[in-house]
Amino acid sequence: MQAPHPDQRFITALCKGEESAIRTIYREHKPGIIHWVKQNKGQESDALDLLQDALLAIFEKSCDPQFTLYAPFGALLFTIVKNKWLKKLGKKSAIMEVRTGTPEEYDTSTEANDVLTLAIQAETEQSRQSALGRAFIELSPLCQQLLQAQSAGVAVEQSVTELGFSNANALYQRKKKCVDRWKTLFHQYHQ
Amino acid sequence: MSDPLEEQEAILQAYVNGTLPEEQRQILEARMAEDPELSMDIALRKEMHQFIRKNQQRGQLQELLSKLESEGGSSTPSAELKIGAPPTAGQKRRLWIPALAVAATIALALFFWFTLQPLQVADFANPTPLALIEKGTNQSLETQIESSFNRGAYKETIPLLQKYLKEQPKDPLATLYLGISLFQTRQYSLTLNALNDLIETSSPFQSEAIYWTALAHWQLNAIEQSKLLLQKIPPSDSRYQQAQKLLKAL
Repeated sequence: MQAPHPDQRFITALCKGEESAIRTIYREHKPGIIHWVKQNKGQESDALDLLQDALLAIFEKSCDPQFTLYAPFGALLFTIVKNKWLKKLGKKSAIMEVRTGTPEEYDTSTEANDVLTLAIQAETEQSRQSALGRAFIELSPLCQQLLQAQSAGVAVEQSVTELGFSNANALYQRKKKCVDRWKTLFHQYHQ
Repeated sequence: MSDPLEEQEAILQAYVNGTLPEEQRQILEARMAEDPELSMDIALRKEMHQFIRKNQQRGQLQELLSKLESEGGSSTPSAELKIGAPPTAGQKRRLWIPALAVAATIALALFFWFTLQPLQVADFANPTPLALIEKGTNQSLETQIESSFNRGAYKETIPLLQKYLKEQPKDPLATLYLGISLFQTRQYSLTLNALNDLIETSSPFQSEAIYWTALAHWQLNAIEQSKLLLQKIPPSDSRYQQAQKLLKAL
């Protein structure tokens, strides 16, 4: 069985919110990504946006034990940056001339399929979480508080008191409606 | 726990929280294997749970990345991210990238709107629909309250809420909506009285009560008091953007 790449530690660092490792990732990969984006019709600000967005995409999958890296972290990061930039350019103009070559330091030839799969997983998860977020902020404050309390494992009796429900049954009735509303909105935003 | 819905919701929540006893977990997973619809429903609930659990950490990561961008990303590492600290304005910055273009357009429109139009209370006095049904036992009264409030009949809602609060004097949601109804009928001093306890007490409704109290102070021309209250609304609150807009306008 193949061992994970040593850079798996960066995935773990994102999951745990380890600031020093995240600073290392940012410092090491920022210059390469700026260089590539500038070569491909972008500005430094575009590169910084892409770098942040790509790291947030990886974060969404970082705590999933199945999300295992067999290639350098930079290869995954760059693949996501490239996908996002091409998507953005596609929206701007269909006839943009883009040099889509991969920088040497991110050469993914041997693990290309693995990296691409992980990149797609991360972007898909980011898209779903984003839709969940857009839908969640449209729920009433009561629904938001109730769902947060339930996910945090707050005792039902405590939530009944704090949120002003008459009993546990009323709380569960409301929660069911909140979840159903959230689902409906989610499906509207994520089609 | 005799109610089937209550029982089902409790089981599903325990499952996504990872606290369902092994035996019940196996039974549920066997049902899921036979029922694709149930399986999909639970998978989505798991994602919802993950979204909530990771929301604060996501905000903290966004804040750190914004900080790295502004400082060039080369400064000395500091402490680990403080999980549990309240989110700040910076955390919101890149929350929903696709929405930024829309938000920018709205902000621009608001900028021009503010420069051309006098400040209108109606632009800030936009209550969330009331959902009181199922919170208590007197369904008829609650139905009437919900119905009258949600169709904007605030004058009609006030005595109904007062009656409800006699039965449920500690209900924070009803108290909040009584304050809002009083505000909407321009009884600003009474709004302050109604919301006074709520703004002092930590509860899920505290920020909302602070917001409406600030609006009432504004309408009573107590601008400084209004501004002080608006500044108390945290960036994590859904009223934060509106509070900031009003603060700038004031």
